[in-house]
Amino acid sequence: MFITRIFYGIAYFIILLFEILKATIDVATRTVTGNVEPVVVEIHTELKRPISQTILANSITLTPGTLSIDLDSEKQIIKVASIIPKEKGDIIPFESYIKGMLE
Amino acid sequence: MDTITLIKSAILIISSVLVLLSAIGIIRYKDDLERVLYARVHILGIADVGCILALLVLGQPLLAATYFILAPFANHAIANAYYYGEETR
Repeated sequence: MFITRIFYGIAYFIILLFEILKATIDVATRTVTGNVEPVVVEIHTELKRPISQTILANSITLTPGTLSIDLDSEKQIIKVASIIPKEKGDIIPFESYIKGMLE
Repeated sequence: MDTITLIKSAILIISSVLVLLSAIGIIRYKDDLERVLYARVHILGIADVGCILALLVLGQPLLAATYFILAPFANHAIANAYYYGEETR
């Protein structure tokens, strides 16, 4: 059980680094071409513990192009500012890894 | 000149290009765009990634890890203050 959590943690870290590199290239090209349209969306998360919600919000902010504004811990809602309108799966692809790691 | 020095130099050049791009992006977008502050904070995120890469290459992994953990807090504080200030304006 504990080994599984460590495995999920390592996988989460690798996925996070990969997403950060991908989003950096994306936002850098958008800076050159000028194709931005900032929106604020609300996403519903499956995570229940406050620490995993905080880690999820920090990961969202750490990825360039998405930025967490507010976190409602009881209703499990995160307000996210995104540089273009995106789907939920594109904003938080690492949610299942955090769920496996901490819940 | 060995291979490691070449790789380090290439990563330093890449991170300097990222910082330069974010500087261009900050002065590029004027106030006529709607919710332009979020776009500026997004673009400053590129500078964060460039600084983390540069600190890793320059042999300061602890500083890079501290930056990696602490950088989202400032962005989050700016965005939160702007969001709730906009509501009452």
